[in-house]
Amino acid sequence: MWKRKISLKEQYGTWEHFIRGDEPCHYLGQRLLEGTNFYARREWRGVRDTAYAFAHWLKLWITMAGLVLRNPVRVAMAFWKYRWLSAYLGTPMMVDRWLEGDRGTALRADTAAIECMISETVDSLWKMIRADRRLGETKWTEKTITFDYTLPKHILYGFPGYEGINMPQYCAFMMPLLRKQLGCYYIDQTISCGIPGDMCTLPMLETGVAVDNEYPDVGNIWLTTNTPCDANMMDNNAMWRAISNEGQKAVFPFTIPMMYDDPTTRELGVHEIYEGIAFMEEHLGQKFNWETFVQHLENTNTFNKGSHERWDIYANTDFGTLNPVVQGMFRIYFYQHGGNKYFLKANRKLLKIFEKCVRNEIRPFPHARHRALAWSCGSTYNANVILWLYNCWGVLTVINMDSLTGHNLVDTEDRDLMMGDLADWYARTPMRTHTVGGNRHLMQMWETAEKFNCDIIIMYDDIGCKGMAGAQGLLEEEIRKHRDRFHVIWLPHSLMDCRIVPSSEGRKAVNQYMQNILHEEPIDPTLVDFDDEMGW
Amino acid sequence: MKDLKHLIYFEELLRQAHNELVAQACEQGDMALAYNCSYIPEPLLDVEGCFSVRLRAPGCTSPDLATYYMTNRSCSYSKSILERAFEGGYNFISALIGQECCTTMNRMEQYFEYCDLIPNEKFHFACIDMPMKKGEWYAGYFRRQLEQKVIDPLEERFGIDFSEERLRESIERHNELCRIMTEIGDMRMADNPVITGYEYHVIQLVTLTCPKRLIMDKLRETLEELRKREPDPEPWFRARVMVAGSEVDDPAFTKLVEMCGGLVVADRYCFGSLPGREPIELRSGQDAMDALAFHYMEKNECPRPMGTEATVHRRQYLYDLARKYRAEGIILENMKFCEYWGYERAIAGKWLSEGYQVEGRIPTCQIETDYANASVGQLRTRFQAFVESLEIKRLQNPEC
Amino acid sequence: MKTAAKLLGLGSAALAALFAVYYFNLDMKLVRSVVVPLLDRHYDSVHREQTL
Repeated sequence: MWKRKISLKEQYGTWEHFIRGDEPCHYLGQRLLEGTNFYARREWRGVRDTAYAFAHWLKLWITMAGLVLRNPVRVAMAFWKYRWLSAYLGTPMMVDRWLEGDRGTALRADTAAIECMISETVDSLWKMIRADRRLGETKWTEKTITFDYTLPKHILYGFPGYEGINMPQYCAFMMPLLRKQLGCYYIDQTISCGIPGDMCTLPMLETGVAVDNEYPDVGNIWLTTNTPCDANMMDNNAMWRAISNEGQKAVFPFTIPMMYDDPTTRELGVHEIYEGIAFMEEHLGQKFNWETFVQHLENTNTFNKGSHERWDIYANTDFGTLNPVVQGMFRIYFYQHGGNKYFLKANRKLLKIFEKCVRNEIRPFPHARHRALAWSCGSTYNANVILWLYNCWGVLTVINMDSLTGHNLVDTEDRDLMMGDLADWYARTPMRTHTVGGNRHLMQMWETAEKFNCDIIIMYDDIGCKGMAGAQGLLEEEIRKHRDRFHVIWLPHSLMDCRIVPSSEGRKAVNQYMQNILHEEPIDPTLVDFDDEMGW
Repeated sequence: MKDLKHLIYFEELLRQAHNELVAQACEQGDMALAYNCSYIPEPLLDVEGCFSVRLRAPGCTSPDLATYYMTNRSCSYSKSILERAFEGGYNFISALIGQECCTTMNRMEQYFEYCDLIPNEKFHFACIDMPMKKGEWYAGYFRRQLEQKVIDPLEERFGIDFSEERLRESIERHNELCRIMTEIGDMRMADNPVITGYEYHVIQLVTLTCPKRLIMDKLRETLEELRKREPDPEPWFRARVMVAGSEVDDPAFTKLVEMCGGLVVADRYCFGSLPGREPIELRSGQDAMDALAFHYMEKNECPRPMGTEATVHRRQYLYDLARKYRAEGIILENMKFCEYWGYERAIAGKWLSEGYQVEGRIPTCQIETDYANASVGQLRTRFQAFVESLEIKRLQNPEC
Repeated sequence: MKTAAKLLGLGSAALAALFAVYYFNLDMKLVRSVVVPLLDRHYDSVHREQTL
């Protein structure tokens, strides 16, 4: 039976604090069920913010119910068939974790971004389910195209009437975010086939879904890619049999040059875009529509301009109002989709909130003692560690490596320039932009930390990442050269498999640094050490 | 069988990268152009005044410094090369022709510059962007990469002559080497071959790591010797196997397989001859660079190329090779932590055992190795069991 | 008027109930304790051929 460790009086002190939800310490850790990250009680954020969060929770369930109501039988069949789909029942819990500690404008901005991601996800899940041959062929089956996880769907906008799904994103990548044990399950399926267990866990997870033959069967073509890394390139081989339906589907590898900012490689990037367009024209029997395509690019530019503005605010002020985990996830989500209706709407809303914060000098994260840059590939099962850093230790991550991807503006006036800029978009993928094409990209860490006025760098240490493993010595030497300027805290994780490096190990590494090197006291002592192994 | 005359000499050459012939060539003013990856065209680096050296790190058992730079979770081939570089084992090289094909290898190559490992002011590091698909356009792109990243800088820095004439001469020399190696290699197809897999492996490695002009005479002599060599009265081996996988640059590995009774009849791995020793065809209207780029892109069987055709073709290639060399089974190997071959090994193992997308089934044995072959005991057990299973299968089905 | 009052009353009761579900995290507790284990039992019972 759950019991409060900190009494109401101790936590809130006064009735005013309770009404406003602005108590000095939120004591978030005490809300957790023992051994898990499930809340015994959701957060009380004061009357207004709790009402807001409650309304958002209602909207979330209505949105999820909306998926079911579109075709209850078909959706039920999908739930019965696909283990990964059951993970989406945990969406409210993932949202709880992503909103931990939020108040005021932060809560509003984060819920706007989350709403966008959830609406987009529900939309995509529906598009997958309605087109899935395994549930019965429909008029959408041939109108839906499978894209690889990190391959943006930009060229699809030149084929109005067709839908694209980044299938591995919904069937694989989301698993540890929603329910970490499912990530482990699919990874085990991959290992049971003989693929070594020391590989990066993301492609292993994607492969595991294919091994279990749980990718929906949609469309007649599959666009793959070699991004973000070698292992993800190889998982396309492993998934070929499942996703291409034993070779029945036409497969187009949309390959991206490795040394993407080397001018000599630009021609390959552009060539692949034209080849991709030609491939789709051939297989869809439809000419590419440059008008709708350019409109989409302009929409994506609009979003990116908004991102630039928000980053300026993060870099130069304390008024940035998306919390660290939502900020990162929002950009990664956006990367796949570009400026579609959900992201444009969220962009407008977020800009308003950001402008309000700047105008009224609102500091959405008042407990921030440090400004941090998160570098390298972050974990998924422990995605909200970046928010925990703020709530527990006051380390506010103002920007992360994977946000700084696909943000260049595309020239839509000159076609040659446009295609060159678009090739650049495709090349600057999350988990890739800074890890391939030369060590200098990795070392952009320092100038980025300077630009965003950070004093701490959170260095994610994915133990399965061969690209980063190869650069370990380089990083250590460069860190030593910069030690007078930045604190660097290594945060170990194993990307998708929570068993190899449990979340508590990551937190422990931070705790040790904060206590022994920086000699600081936690802002929320209930968050310092807790066991969430049995949680999701 | 009678020992090959030059085998011990060849084995001696393989003991270190800076061997007698490499030293001799450097003293004579030739430039050593080093590389790690099978995509790099050898004839390009073998033009007059230069020689290609594929890097190995024989006897590297404790890459401690490299492990600091690359952790113990990186491919041990790359770490061993880096370790040997720290030890000064490659101080003789003038350039390292690298590529961003494999992340770990690329990180290792970048350390040559970052840590300033080669005490040569003019040392040049090139990094090619290798396409991931095959075809005319991609061959053209590969060619342009070679021109921009290798030819132009080396011409400027070292005054190397990469003219059409020189390249054609180099290709012709390379083709002669390939004809010799192919003829020797084809001897493994016989019922009772006059050459063992180990001997072939040694010879093949010598062609990769020594200046070719200084070993050609010995290769020609070895070929003559083999043409006249009498095999043992009865085949000494119990089964015929093919080895496929990532880096296998230690002949001791092949020796281990053969000590367990398996004759290695085909070598489909990085550092192997299949592919790698096919003569380069100069088609009509094609210049030397076109021929080189096309050949090295098309013939390569690295797991990197993407798409249905490449995916299916690689397993078909393994199957066809096994049939051609009458291998009864395939040992599928990957270097530990190799992402490419970790996946490729498992997928190929499944397809070939099932007979999926190929005309029949072939038994496979899947293993992981370390560069220094630390787990020899375990490998021996696996090989013995595999050979025995192949023997039993043959006894039970003599027609197969 | 009476109907409006009744509706208001019902609405308030529903909202209160929903808020209770929200605050006490009953939705996730139900999903975690009942729904997902049932689904998992079904998924585990399905025989699958490995596709690689």
